[in-house]
Amino acid sequence: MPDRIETEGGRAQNRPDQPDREEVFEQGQLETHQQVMEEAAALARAHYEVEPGLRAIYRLEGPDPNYLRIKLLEVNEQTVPTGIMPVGFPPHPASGLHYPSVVIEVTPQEYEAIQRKELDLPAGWEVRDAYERPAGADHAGGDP
Amino acid sequence: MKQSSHAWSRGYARQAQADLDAREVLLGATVPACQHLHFLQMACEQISKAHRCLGGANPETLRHSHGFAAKVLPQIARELLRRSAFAADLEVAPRGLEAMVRQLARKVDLLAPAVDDDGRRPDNCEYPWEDDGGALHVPAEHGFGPLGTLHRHRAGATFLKIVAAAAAELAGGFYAAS
Repeated sequence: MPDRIETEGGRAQNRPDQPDREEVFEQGQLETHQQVMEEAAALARAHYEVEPGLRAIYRLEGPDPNYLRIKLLEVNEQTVPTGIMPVGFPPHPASGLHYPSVVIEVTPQEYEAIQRKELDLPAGWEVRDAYERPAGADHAGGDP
Repeated sequence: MKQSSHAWSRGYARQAQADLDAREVLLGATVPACQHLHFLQMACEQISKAHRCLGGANPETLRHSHGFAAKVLPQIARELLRRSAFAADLEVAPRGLEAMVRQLARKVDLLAPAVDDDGRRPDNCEYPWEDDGGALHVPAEHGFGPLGTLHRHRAGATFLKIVAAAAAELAGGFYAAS
């Protein structure tokens, strides 16, 4: 028995006893997006715990061929200044990371240059909300 | 040898960039860690050879040698820091950065089958190996310790950034080893 039936006007509709496929698809997308956001926050927390020079971590948003990729901007006072150099990591389900991730790590001075629009992020990428440092995570400096 | 050291250096570095590009493609695919680590190991090896060419090493001799990353990448990190346009503004000198880079680079060196610490480290990202107890290990099923979890290892992002920056600079001919 087909899941969808044709009406007189030719428009396909779900059978009354079947869930709407578009709704199911959208719901699935929402859940996936939520999972990506949660894993991004967990990854940021993990970075705060191991990187003593981290001053701040921000979520990045923007066009990406892999729209599920986690994108972080990390302000680290213990790194080399190289400009904008995104580095990628694979998923690692064993540690709870089910999506690939990319980190743009900059020095505090480079971060200021980003804010002044003197240093460009990848086209269309924007800095969004900051992740809070978990209580007890070591850090060497003050605010970015 | 007909070509200059600089030409060989750029050649090795360009190959490193291709290895890093291949690694990048694999990051979104469902493949074992050994696959993208293999490209990372090859990239580090190419960068090390590119750097050594500029230091006067014979490119032909370098072709069949392995395991330089632990020596070369910390030097490159120091150079990148010193020569950066932003370096003069750095408020806090990176503490222990070179040591962290050396430690990770050493682990990357050991991924090459030819580098095994006189048989003590047979684990590698290309061929199966047997341990002292007779158990067979397959790269495709191996976790690779900290390198397999570089996404949450201290200086993991910094390490990858140094590798990518070094490849770009050496391939562009902008780098002069001191």
